[in-house]
Amino acid sequence: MGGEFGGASTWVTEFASKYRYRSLAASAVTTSGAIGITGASSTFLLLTMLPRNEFLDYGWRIAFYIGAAVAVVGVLIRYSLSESLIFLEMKRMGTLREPALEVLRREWKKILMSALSIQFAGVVSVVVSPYALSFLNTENLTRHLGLPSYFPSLALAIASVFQYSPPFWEAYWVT
Amino acid sequence: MGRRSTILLGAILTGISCFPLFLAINSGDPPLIILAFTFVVGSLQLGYGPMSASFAERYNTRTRYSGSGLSYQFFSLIQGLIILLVVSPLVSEFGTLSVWPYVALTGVAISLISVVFSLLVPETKNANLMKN
Repeated sequence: MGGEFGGASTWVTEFASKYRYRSLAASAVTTSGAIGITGASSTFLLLTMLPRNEFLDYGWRIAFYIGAAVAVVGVLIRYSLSESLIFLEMKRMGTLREPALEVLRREWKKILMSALSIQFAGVVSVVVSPYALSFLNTENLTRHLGLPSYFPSLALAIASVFQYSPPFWEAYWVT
Repeated sequence: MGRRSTILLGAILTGISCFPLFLAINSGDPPLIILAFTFVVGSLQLGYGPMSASFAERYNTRTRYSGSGLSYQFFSLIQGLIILLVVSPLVSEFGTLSVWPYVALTGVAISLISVVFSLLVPETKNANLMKN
């Protein structure tokens, strides 16, 4: 997602602004990241099934070709999207969007509070992925516990199924 | 439920899940470890879901694109700073095997910050997005 988040969340939320489940629609923005990661890891998994020298020779390139194709599809979709009605209405009334620096200067409080309110979502990257995994990976610990070496990745893969959960939570709780 | 209470619940559950994660790892019981990982990721995703709608709804149309984008970028920036300035020094100070209580405590602290700030942001479930 990265730099696309602002545009994507704005577009989806504005487009669905009259729809009761607009938060369900907007949660697709965050879930799309998980779909991308699953797609990328499955592609990589399939490619590593190739014989080793073939993987090193041309196999890894296939993933890049697929990535390029996905990017082209993304661009095509983007060109075929229309602006949200809210934006068109604002444009008609002569209201233009403001540059990011101006928004930062004027809304920094709101921006900072928003960023801090969601900070717990970083626990996976602050605690789980770098640390809990390396803790579990520490060779003597895994051996001491008698667990197979693939166990840490397996545990995280099972837990990662929940990365697809936001739309379900949205549909039943939030709206 | 609304956005704010869901984010709040996600933050509370994530905070609660940090210590059990390491206790489960220490117990060495595979199903328990998987359950603990699932608990962390599940609670976190519960609160993460409403983020895109609620970030976009907090700003008026003039500032929405930049406001929502900057909120997300600052979230990542602060997260990176915590890893760089808190977690990494802790790991090099205490070593991978004995640092876990401090890392879990960092997770709890981050979640507490979120609890406080999610109480301070407005509920925007029924916000009218046509505002200037």
